[in-house]
Amino acid sequence: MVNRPLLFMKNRIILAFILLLGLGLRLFHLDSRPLGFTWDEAALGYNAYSLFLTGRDEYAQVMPLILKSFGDYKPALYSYLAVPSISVLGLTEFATRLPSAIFGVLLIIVVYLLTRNVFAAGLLAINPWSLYFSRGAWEANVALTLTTLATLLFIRRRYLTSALFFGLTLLTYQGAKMFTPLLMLTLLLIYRPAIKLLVKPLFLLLLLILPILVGFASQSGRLKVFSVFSYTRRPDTVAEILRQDNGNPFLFSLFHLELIDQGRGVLQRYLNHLSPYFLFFAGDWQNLRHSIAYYGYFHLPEILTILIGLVVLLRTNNPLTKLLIAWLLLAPLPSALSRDLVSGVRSLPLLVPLVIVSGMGLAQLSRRRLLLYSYTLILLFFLVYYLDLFYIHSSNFTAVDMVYPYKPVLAIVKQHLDQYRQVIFSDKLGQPYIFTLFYLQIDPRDYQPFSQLAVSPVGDVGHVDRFGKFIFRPLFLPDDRLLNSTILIGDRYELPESDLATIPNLIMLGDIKYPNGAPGLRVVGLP
Amino acid sequence: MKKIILIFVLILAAFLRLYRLADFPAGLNADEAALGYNAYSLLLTGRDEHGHPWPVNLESFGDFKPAGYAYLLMPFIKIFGLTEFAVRLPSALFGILAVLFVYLLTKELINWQTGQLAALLLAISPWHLHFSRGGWEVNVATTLMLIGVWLFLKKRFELCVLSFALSMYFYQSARLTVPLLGLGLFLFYRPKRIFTASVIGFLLLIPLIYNLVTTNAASRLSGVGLLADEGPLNRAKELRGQHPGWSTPLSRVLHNRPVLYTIQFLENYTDHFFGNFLFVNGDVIPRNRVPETGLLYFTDFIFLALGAAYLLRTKDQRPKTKLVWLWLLVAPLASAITFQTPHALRAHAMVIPLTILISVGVFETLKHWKLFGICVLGFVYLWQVTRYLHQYYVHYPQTYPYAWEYGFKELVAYVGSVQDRYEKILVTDKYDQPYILFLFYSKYPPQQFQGHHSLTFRDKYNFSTVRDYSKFHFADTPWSKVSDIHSSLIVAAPEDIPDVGVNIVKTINFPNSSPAFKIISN
Repeated sequence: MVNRPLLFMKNRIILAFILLLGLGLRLFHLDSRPLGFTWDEAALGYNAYSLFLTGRDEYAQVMPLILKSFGDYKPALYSYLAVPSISVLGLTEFATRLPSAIFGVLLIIVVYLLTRNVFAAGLLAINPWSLYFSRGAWEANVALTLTTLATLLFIRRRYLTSALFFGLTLLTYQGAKMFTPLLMLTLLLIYRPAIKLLVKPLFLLLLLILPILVGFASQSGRLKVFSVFSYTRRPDTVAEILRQDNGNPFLFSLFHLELIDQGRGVLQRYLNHLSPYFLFFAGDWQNLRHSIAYYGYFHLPEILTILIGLVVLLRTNNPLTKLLIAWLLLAPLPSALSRDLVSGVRSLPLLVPLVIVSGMGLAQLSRRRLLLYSYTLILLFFLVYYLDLFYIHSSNFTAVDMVYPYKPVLAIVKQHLDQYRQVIFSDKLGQPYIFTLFYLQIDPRDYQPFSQLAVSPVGDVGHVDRFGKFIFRPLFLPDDRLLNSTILIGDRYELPESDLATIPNLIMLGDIKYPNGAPGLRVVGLP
Repeated sequence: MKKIILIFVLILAAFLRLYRLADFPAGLNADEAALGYNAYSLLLTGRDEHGHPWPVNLESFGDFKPAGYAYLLMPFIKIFGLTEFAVRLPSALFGILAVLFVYLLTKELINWQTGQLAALLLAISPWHLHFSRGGWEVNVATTLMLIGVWLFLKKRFELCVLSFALSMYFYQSARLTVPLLGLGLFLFYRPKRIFTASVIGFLLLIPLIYNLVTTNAASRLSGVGLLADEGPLNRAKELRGQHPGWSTPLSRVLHNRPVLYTIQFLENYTDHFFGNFLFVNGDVIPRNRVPETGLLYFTDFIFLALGAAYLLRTKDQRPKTKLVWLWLLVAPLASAITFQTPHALRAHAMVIPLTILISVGVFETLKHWKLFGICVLGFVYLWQVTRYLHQYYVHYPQTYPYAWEYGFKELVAYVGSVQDRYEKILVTDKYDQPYILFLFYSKYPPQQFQGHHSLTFRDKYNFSTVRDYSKFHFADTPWSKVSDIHSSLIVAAPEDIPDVGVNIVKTINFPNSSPAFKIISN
């Protein structure tokens, strides 16, 4: 006989250990790994700072649900979640990233409660995908925890609170606007609750998403930029196909329509997210902001447990397994319909079913002690391998994409700002204004009245041209060298060493290099 | 009814595999020409092109092709002569045979309806069609493997072993996958009374083992093998360089060859289960891919998933269908120990278990559907098949004309008509192994070739070639070099030759009317 209370205690101790491990892995060097800070993180942090001090966002909107930011209209919830940590710890990278890290740990608890599987919880605590997106101000990570929590509450028939959290996901992350409805529909189809129980929850949900529905029209430009259907083949590709068909329009409309090509694109994107290469070997191979080099989103030995877990999953038949299968198949959809061939952030919901499946596989393995121990040993090796890649190596590969130079550059600017009339800051690395606001901790009350976003003509993100002493534009040295009392910030092409040597009384204030030694940004003063 | 449907499927398979076989794929690639010419040489002299008597492997371009296909070709060349059709016919016939045997095997494993679906799906499978059209040894090896598995289930162990052993004389990959498949079958079914079979198997493999031990035929693996890929080694160096100390214990334990090559092997292996490779874009090598098509049809992935799920869920199906999983997991192994993965050719044997799984998925779906649904599905597949054939016959030759070395037939005929006027003939080596295509199309007497030529040293992929025979010389043809050569005929790569001020006597074009060769006489 198994002693149930004892087993329960044992599970609790193991779970506590897992949570501690998960927390440790998410907080250790949170400010500097990944090295650098994306502009979205800076924007969420600064808006939180602005909300904390003034109750308004950077554009002086009172308590907004959607942040205009760079014209990408971010759902605002993350900034509100960052208010407590920023109010206590100040406007720092750590404080900005902390909410995501905490929600990453919460996800472990939610997944445990959903499955009662300590293996799944343990694998989630050390999962590279979860770790990566818990270690940055990623709204998608918070949204995932909220989604999973809402699902748990739904299964436990707490429909009202479930609706509340489902609604909150929509106020957290853009990508949730597609995945959350799909998941809710799946839950309704699988669990079929009585309609009358759903009236109040639905009402609450509508109330929550009303501001999003209202704002939808103004954001359609952004949607267009990201949709796969906004991109067509090049004219010469189409012309070549037509030439090969001797210009036959019937064959063209039968086999070569744009829609067919886009359909292939969607299928390719969908399958990319379910490929071993994406999950176990490379992660998001298109975007170095979304994963680390030379490692996937799951530990390599999990190929085995996920396969075993899938077999176990298919052989059991209960609502939860149905839900997991549906979740697994639906999760890559938002990403499949978007522009990029693969995206680790838009497909993040895929993490939950896969880690649970992996946990089920490990539970199956653990029936044989020897298998469990040898598997754990191999897993441990890969965990060390991963941590080594993450803490020691990844900055060498990702610091460029994580716009690392802004922080040291602005530290230099801060020292010298009093001695100069103006600062001309190259915008080559993207959105320098938000980093200036963030790292110089500009008082939002000073900034709000002058905030002015130049809108992008193609519907993509806009940019800020100037505020206070700062002007943001590409440098043009032949003209700019004639200025006085000016700090110039640019890269090695805008401020080439050979040209700088010819400018009299120029002061080299700083030359920031990437961790791998490549040149980053230069700061020079023209007195 | 059962038989009529099957016969119809076989006729369809035969039509799709034989229709204009000599013209599509457009051209003849160097490997096909080599198999054809070696068969021709064996037929006339009992020796291969390099003078080895009755070889187990053909030295050919230093790649030591298994010689089975060349022996199989001999009667066909005797009857049809040394032509493209003769070289391609055996593979096509074995492709048709595979359609029959996939029916028999699936009937044995599941039921006859699924068997007929599997036959139909294999008959129209892009992956199987592609490698049934062309002198592909792999197709024969796969069919022999399939026949062997069926014979095993029928408990005809002697014949099974014969079939398995034969397949190892046809294709390199089979030399690894077939023994593993055989071992798996043995462990699964624990057959009794297999003593005779094992003796036969051992006897049949003696020539192969003797050959592998005594010649450097295994060198092929050192050219294309996993360890020839320098990527993981460079990565180890790169990562070690980023540690504070080059050889701290941690960096030595983590970044070393065994770890990185193991990861690389697993990556190569799992690459073959990449959906983009299977359903959307196929192989990247032009010779193995038709533009804008996958190795399977778009909708196959749905039925593959359904079929796999069904077989895993259903208890009474499990013992018998274990073998499908075994086959699927073993098939990409040989490909995974080479680089350039995923590889449609080296992992070709996957097509059989995949087709069986898809047919299970289709059958289980159709069972629950009304006539309307069946018609819709039929229509969807009809469109996909037509689209594939359109891509194959219209766009393939025009998009990758160089992949099948189009133009040599016309070139050799032309050169043959004027060669008496020249002392030397210089031919570009831009396209793979031009000498063998000249031998093939001119039916050059093998007696005169054997012993009168030499193979070059191996290049970094361990390939050799022949640079001189008779009055032919094969080399690169940059303008700076060929502009000064006189009293010779020069067959040059088109981009080497300026448009004006040159005596171009003939230009040979690709199917998309861009030039393949420019022939000049100074």
